[in-house]
Amino acid sequence: MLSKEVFDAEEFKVSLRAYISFVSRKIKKNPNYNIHPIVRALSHAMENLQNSGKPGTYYGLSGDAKDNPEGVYTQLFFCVLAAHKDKMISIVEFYDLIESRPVPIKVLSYILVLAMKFDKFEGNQINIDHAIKAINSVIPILNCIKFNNNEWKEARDHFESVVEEYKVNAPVEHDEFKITANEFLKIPSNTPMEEYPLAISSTIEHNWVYHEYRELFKDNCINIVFSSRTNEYSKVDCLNHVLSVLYGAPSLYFTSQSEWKYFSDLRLNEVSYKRPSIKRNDPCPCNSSKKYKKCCGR
Amino acid sequence: MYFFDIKKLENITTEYFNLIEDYFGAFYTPGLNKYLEAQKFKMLETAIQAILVSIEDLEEDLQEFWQKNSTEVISIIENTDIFKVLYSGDMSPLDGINFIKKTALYLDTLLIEDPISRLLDTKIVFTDKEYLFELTKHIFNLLDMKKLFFGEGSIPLLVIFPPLINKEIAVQIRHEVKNSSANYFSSLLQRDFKDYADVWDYLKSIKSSEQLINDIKDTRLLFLNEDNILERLNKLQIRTKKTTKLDTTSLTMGEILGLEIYGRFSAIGTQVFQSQYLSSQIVFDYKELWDLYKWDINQTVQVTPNVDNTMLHALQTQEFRWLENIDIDKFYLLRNEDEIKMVREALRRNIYHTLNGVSENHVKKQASINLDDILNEHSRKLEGLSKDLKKKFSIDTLAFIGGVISSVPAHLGIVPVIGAVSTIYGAVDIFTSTTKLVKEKKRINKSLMGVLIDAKQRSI
Repeated sequence: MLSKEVFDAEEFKVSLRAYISFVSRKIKKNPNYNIHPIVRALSHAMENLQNSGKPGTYYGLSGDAKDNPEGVYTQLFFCVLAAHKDKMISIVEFYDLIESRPVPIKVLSYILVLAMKFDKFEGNQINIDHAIKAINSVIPILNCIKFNNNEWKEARDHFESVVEEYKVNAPVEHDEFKITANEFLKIPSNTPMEEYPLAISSTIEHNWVYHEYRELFKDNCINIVFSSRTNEYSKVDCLNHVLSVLYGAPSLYFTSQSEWKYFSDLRLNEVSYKRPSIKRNDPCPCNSSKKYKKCCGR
Repeated sequence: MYFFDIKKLENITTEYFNLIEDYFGAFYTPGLNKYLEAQKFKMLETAIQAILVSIEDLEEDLQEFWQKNSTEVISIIENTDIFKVLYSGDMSPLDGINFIKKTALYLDTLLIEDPISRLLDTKIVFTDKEYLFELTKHIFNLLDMKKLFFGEGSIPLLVIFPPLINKEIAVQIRHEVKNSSANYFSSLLQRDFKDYADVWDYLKSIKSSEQLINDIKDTRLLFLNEDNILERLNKLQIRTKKTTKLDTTSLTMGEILGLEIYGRFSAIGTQVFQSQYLSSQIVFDYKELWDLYKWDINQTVQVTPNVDNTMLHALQTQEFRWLENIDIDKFYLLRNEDEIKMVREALRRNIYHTLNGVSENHVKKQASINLDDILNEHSRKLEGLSKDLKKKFSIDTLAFIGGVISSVPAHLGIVPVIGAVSTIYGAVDIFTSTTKLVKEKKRINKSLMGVLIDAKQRSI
């Protein structure tokens, strides 16, 4: 029986091969084809390793600033490889510098599949329905539900009634909702949807969908209400949004659903398997400078 | 097949393999078990999606490839006068090189309908997992057998051809398949059905495997190739429900058998049509299909399969299992049209198409005797040559040594030249005659017969 991290790593290996084979065909047709920064970071690290040819640790960094008109990074990944003496190469970690978090192995596979699925639609934008369909089919722990913009007025009015009720029956400890409610009350009721702050509008939408379409919510899933002012959504923003839910700050709310494994887990595991047995007269591994037999091995 | 045609065919085949390697080369490792590799993918849910998305353009690229090359491939196959046989059974011969070894003795070229084009059509029926499992298995199988698609100047042993069925022909085949299915169920259930729809209505009423077995008058007609019919039917039910993404929850056992039989007749109808179109013989790698094919032609045109088809089937039976020991690399290097023709003729000795048709058992027994006969004949020849060689070597060497000894005093005496010349003649004679024997022995050893003798000896 494979451990979860080994299984995830095997899955990533196959997904990466599929992605590379996909990209090679794309590049044959269009030499300027844009490869996902994750794979670029990995390939930079591999190039560094090949140039050196020695065992050691190698890094690769890649982002999307070049592809953005403002030259800002919306995606920036860092990959660390270890080249061993026996010529084996292992991934030490993938790091998302925008989210400031390591990327879980399983999510790396999701990203590659989604990148290929999104690529089926030309341009930088993707239709929101297509995006939701792709995300839901690839990531089983996510359940994206689209908010219908035509229901904004009803959603807003419903939220107002919730806030009114909250004023009467609010539990004292609900500070977060209190902040949102107070913010909401400051906004005139005739303000168009587009002018609402994102945090408030998404709360209104989520609340409405949960109230009106509860059957769309799934158990043991992270349910996200997706909304877009237009029918088209930036592919990169969409993917970043998903990543943020999966392992960024919001993911802290859903740890029970995800239980991610990282390359660092795999490596620790590997090391623990390979750890040589300690002889009685060896120095103790706890750095006490005593012999093992007189310290931890007693 | 002319050299020029062979070259053209090989160029097209190279392009075909480049295409599938472009899509599947990253996942294929030569020498690994294709079943285990395909099975491994089945467990990786996200990776399955990654592969499926990455190969989405395969269908379009393959269609483009056949649009460009199908006319050429069909014309070359049609116009060639070699002994060609069309493969029928699974999408590709999954028994791989072992299947080829057993049939290659009798044919010049085995024609295989492009399995990928066929599998792409099943995408709407199979679950993603099953579809990828089938696709990977057959693509890895083709890659395993890749070298057999190239004859390096000779006729390739395997040739891929495009699907030949257009919409019009598909309608005709479907009509025939429905008739055959209706006849089959009439015989199986001993009932008169008005038409095909009537058959389905009845099958719908058969809910369980037990009820089905009770309704069947002669279970041998099921051609399920297994002793425990109940177990086999239950397996069939599980497999159908597990592998298709269609709603199978309401399907009764009768309907499941109906689908299975319809599928088999459909495969037979399609491949028989294609074999006739390409003027080739046909070989089935599933006993179940072969039995159904025999039953069908016996019912519809009251004939038995011809000698060649029967022989090709016989070669896959237990009696010829030893053919799996053939060294395929040597075999492939040594085979040529003339030698295969000689083996084919030898195998067919004393086998005739009589008024009663062709007896499968007789073909099997006689072919086995014939093959043993030719192998024994060659073994004897080989032994004879070895004996001659030993004898010649000892006698001629003695003469040669004698010649040298006698030439020594002569050399010292009055006529040294005569002795030396006779010695040289003796040496030349030994050299030329021995070389002839060695060459003949090597020729047999390095011939198709030599490869067969080796394979037979290894099985003992």
